[in-house]
Amino acid sequence: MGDVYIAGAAMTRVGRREDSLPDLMAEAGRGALAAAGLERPDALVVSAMNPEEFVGEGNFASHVATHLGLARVPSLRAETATSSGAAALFAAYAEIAAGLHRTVLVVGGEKMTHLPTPRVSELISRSIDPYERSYGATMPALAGVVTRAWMSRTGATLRDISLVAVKNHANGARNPLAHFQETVSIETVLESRLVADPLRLYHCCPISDGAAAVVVRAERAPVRLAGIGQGSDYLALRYRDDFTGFRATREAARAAFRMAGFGPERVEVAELHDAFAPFELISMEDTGLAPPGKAARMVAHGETALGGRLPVNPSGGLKARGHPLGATGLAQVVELCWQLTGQATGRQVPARVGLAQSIGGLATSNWVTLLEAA
Amino acid sequence: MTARRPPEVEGRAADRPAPAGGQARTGDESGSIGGTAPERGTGPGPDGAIPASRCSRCRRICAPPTRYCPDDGTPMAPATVPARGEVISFTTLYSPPTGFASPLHLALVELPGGAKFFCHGAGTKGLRPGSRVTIEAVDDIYYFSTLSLGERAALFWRRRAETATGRVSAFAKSAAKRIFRRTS
Repeated sequence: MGDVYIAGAAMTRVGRREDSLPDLMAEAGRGALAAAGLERPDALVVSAMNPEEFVGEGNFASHVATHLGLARVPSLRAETATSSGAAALFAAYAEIAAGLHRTVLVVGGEKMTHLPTPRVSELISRSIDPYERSYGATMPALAGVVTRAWMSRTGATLRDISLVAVKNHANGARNPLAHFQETVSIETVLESRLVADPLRLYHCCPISDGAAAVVVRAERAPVRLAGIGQGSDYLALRYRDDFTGFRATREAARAAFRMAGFGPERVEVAELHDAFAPFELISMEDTGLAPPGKAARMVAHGETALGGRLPVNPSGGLKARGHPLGATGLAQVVELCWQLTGQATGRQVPARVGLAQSIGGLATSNWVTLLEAA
Repeated sequence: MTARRPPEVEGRAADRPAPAGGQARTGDESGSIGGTAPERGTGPGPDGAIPASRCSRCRRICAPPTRYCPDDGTPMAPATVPARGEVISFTTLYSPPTGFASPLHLALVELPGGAKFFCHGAGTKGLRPGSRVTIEAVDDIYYFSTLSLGERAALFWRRRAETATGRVSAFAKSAAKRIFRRTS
């Protein structure tokens, strides 16, 4: 298999958007094509978690292709719940690496803010095991269960978790495309209302609209896609044995690092799936960026802040940049491309190797992607 | 008793078949197929044991029962598990889905034999990972309780004793009445 590169990256402003989902995806897709200096890709891969129910559109890859003026370009949709963006990147990687195509446009997006919050929550919670859902389990509920088990095993505190949200809001305040662009104090986080004990409102990511896109190609470009790996776990939380982390992330990281031929020590910037603030700490340890049980201390010492040794979520993460489901896995990659090529104005960190980690469902289908400045 | 009033049933969902656990109102279970649908007939056994299934190949136990082993796909055989265990973790949900009353207490409990089980509870005061709980079903919905087996036995015998005392005093009263009637 030959090398695979990312030639262009773009994304929309994330937040409450009036534009239609196809319009948002066209905005991101055209931006990525322009950044890559490409008029027409050989293929298109689309990601959206649930356009059928969020916006009432089916056959969505063809829909986006036609909307982009690429109706004659073969297209498909990739879906792994909340990590669908990373799954789409994987499909594009495979198409290039297998020699099937030379250039592939990957576009992910979601639009949800036009629906009432309980409806959005219900639709997202459909990615949970049906029996657990029948007991009223939602994503925040299961995240609360995981967080408490993880805290009791690692000794991490609410303050440790809350510092993640404070850091990511500080980063979001420097990102003009972020959903939230204001800083928050740790008191605000700790005093926000309880959502799923011990998780409070400011530990949870918002409901966002937005889209992100990259152009993947076989010819050399400024960013090399060094590794991409997937990991999986039971749909049901009750079938799992280990509550010190997510098996799906660990497997994905192992696969990605094996493909890249280097280890976590070379990573200098990371975008992690902080749908709930403690997931950033769990993910740091699962990917090997932090030794087991040490992630909270790294955050508390500022090592993961913008000026730290290993900046994590310089974009603001899911917490502050926002979480437009099908776009998120790609938005992480877009941020890393900008960081590795010196285009992250206002939040630029010095880095040549970046890691993105995306969680699908309650960590049932996770991805780790490694990017390297070429 | 830790049982609480089951949450109101949403009108729209009430005509759907009730899945295991009795109170699913959020998802579209009626559209599920094969092994993804919650198994039926997962109510409590006659002795209060929790219905489960066991893999004949790897011995894994799942509660409630499921058709195929999640590890190796082997068809599972029916089994039961004692209705008690150790709390792995728990949460209280303050914005539960439609059809559930707030706050909603949820716990993940490890049963004897290793199966982990989702259940409701009346509260989480004093609860922590590692707490021992008993589990009982009320209207096919499982609830955890921090009452120990010993405390349960004590409550049971106290009630028996109270009832017995009541019977004795009633017997004495009626006997006294009879004697009084005869003598008058």
